[in-house]
Amino acid sequence: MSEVALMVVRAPNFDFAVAADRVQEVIPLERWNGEAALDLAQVVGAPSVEGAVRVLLVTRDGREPFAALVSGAVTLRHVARTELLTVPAPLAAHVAWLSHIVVSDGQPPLLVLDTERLA
Amino acid sequence: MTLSVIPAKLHDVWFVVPASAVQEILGEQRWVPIAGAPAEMPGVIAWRGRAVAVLDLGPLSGNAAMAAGDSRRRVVIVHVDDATLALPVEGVREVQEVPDDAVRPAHLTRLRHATMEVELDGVPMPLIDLGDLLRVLAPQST
Repeated sequence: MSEVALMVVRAPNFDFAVAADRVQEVIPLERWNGEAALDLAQVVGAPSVEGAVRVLLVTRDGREPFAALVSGAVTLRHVARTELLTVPAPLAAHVAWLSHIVVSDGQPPLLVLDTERLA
Repeated sequence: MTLSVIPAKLHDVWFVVPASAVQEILGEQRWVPIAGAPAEMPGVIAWRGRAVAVLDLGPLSGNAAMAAGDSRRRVVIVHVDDATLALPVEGVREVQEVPDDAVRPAHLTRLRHATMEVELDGVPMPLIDLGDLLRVLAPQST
């Protein structure tokens, strides 16, 4: 597979994403009645944005799925694996939640979250 | 014997880095802030197809850290130990050759992670020990 599908959330100065194949379900917040959801914008340090609030049910290896809260536009984007930049080693220990970074000309930077380390 | 150094300026203070560590000097670069990263290493830039940690010397010299959206006119890419770092600065001069006996313990300058200094054109400049800096900021990566 030369590409990876990402579920991308738009933030004011950058985008952030989780691997689409990890997202089991997208549920409007008003229909969610499970545990308190982890606000992904808070994790990545993005301000809250206006728009529909949804809960992503995210699968994890060997554990129960967890609920992640996102606001605003959510889109699907295909990114070449070669565009996924590894987090530099000096930074990696400080930002365990970050899996990869995508920097493309003409597009906001994209931070890809490591869903195994989020919750 | 001489030591080759590259002088760089930040907040009106000149310092030097060993020229042997410098990979490239770039113009102003867009950088990506990363939440939770230390103030001295606040984000990354893309360089030669990979992400490189930004090393902001501002907080180490008692000045304000770079904030999201800030940028500086030059970015010095250095390689230290097995890590590559991007140092945003306000100015860079050409390589200078300093006689070994002109590299002395820091006496006139005071900068964290600079135990030595050199004098260029009558101006004392701290010589940054990039390896020591990296070992403190990211001990697990060295």
